Amino acid sequence: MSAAPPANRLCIRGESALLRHLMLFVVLLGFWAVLSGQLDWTDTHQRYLMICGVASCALATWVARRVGFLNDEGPVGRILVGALTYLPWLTWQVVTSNWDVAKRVWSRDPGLDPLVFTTKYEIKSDLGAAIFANSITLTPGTITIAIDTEKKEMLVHAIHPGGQEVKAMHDRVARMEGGK
Amino acid sequence: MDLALEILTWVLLAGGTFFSLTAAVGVLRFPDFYSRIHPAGKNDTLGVLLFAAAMLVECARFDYSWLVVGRVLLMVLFMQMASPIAAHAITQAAWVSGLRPWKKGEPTR
Repeated sequence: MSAAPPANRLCIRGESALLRHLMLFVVLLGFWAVLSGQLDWTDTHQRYLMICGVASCALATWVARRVGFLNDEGPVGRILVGALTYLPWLTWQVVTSNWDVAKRVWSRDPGLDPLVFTTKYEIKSDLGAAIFANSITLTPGTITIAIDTEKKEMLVHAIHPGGQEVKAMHDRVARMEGGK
Repeated sequence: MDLALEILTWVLLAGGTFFSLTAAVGVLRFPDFYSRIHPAGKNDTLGVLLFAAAMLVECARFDYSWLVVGRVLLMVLFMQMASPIAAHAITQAAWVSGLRPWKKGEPTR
């Protein structure tokens, strides 16, 4: 874990700025295509719409570059690939912990013993930290209250002491971004 | 086959309803602000997942195009991203303004 900012803001951990913006462009194109659905190149009107779509994706990418949107995001491509195995696991966590909370809600004695604890994290990128914080919140039983990026700590509220086990989740996120 | 898919849809819808209802009951039953956020902010994540799964089954049943499937998946993705962020924003606001969590044994508020 190094606190020092990367030397070259445009090239972090092997992913060049060009590649990042290309990925953003492709993702925007896909998003536009799914929402629009008018993809018939032979139809004059739809062809016009498609050209406008590509143009607006390019414009959005250009604006993102101008404001430095992608500079400090961490290894985005790597995280996207890692997300393919992380998401199913996370979904399963959501299912099991939802079931746990549901049992508490319907039982006569919910067995609540709330506590607030801090947990250290060793995830390098901001994106990874955000994914970790959201994962903690997404699994019922724990909520991330605050993040201290200086001390690398998260303040978490749990409704019972068993919720303190966030280590497995942390390690998976760290592996996903290619950390230790 | 069609009947099986329809039954599956209803089972998923019933499951989603159960978890959404559980979230509502949890908000009423839990003792303080912080523990109430748990069911309110996220117990419905599974509910939304099940509703979306039901919609996907219906898409397959009535032969909708992949565009509709894609929109359902996008909807799930955004709701799963937005709900923890909202929960986090609310709890952080409460924490910063000085509200301290309920501890076991204290009278409920």
